[in-house]
Amino acid sequence: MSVSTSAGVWIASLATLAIMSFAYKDNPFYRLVENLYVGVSAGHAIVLGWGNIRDLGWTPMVQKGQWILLIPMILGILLYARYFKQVFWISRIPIAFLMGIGTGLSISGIIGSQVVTQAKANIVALNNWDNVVIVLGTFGVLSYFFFLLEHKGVGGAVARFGRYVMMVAFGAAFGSTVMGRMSLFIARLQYLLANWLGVIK
Amino acid sequence: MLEKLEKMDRRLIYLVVFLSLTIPLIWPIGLPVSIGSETRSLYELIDGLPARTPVIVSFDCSPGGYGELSSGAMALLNHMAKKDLRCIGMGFFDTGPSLLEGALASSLYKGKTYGTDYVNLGYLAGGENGISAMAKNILGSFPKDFRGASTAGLPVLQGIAGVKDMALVVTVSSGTPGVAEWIRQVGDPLKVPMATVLVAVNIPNMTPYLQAKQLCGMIPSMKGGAGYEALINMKALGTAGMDAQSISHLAILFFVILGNVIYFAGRNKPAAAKGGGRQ
Repeated sequence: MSVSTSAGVWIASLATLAIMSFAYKDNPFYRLVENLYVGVSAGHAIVLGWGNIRDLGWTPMVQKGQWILLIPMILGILLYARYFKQVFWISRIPIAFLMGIGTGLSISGIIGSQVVTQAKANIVALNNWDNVVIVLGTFGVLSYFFFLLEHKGVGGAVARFGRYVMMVAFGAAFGSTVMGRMSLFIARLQYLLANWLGVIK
Repeated sequence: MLEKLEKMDRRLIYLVVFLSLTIPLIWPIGLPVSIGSETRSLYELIDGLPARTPVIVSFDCSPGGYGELSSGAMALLNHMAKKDLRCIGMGFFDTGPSLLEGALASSLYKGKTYGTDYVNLGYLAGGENGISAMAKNILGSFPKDFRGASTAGLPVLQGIAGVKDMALVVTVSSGTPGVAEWIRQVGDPLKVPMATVLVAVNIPNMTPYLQAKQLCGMIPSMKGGAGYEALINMKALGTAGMDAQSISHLAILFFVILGNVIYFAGRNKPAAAKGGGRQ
């Protein structure tokens, strides 16, 4: 067992313990580290964001004469108009650009990748149990969300089957979430036990 | 007895889970690790690539999620280094490239030459828009790398005109932008094979992409990391954590069953005996 002598490891380990202490009850150490985390994350994001503006906007504009980049730069600055009551409305222009470009870019991809390809992947030969489950499960779940007819009789039975399929899916999602949370905790414990306390290798 | 269990302090559950995680870490049991088909298919794809093939590894994750991704990401990087593949690193989360820098320094790439065998191109803002811009022009999107050096003329990027020249793109993903955005902007339109190292909470959402063959492989959470470590025969943090993972799952299963027993036993009791609440 060899306890770390690194100041960085000690800070990270004590911060981890402070965050974990919330499981016992809320306390000033937890709140201090929580605020520290938010502050560090915001600072880090600002520095990297500024790096992007400098490398992809300012430098090509000033050094290479790509003055067309002035347009996105001005649009970016206009976002801050929202902090001034009299010119608040101006901030809607860059937001409209952002919404339009973002939506346009993602919708074409969503239709292709998440609607057409996913639908095609459900058209499979019923020659093994996996495919049978995929087809019947998809059909059942879609039936559950079909509201033009009352869920009665055969339609009701299919919709009920769809509900059970969704319950199984939610159970799998819950199990995955538990596994993920445990993995996160294990990673921190490994850090504390290996890097800080030197109990494990 | 039932009332005592009903009023059990939740911190007792935390303590049991804490012990079920800590004890196996200190005294490992060595439970077997199963390898999923999705992990094996990614391993086989990478193993079959010729030396010097370029592969994008995008760290699209936050430090909060990286804990469960680190074992899979490290195993992947080590396998790529063993196979002498070119690693083109980048990130669309602001914290991703910093995590990538640490991962590269701890992987087998540390024995290789920066700029020739691997590069960390850094962070590009804009989420899905950023991925789309990068797909159209890698060098234009990353004029400088994470270390501040110019990317023009880097040997590691030689012969790469665009993302289409990549043999594989792997996103180490803990949120958005992540797998879906990469598939929408790169995987499907450019027909570039996609894979992911994924946080467990996203596995159910992303499994349909595997079934539709939009993803050619996946390393799911620490379990996938342990499986990949076994495949490349380099046991590390993922394998060490699997005992703790299995024992903690048993503890949680026990509490789920106990909770249900208490609930159903409580339902059968007369209302007056329950105490509290409105009668």
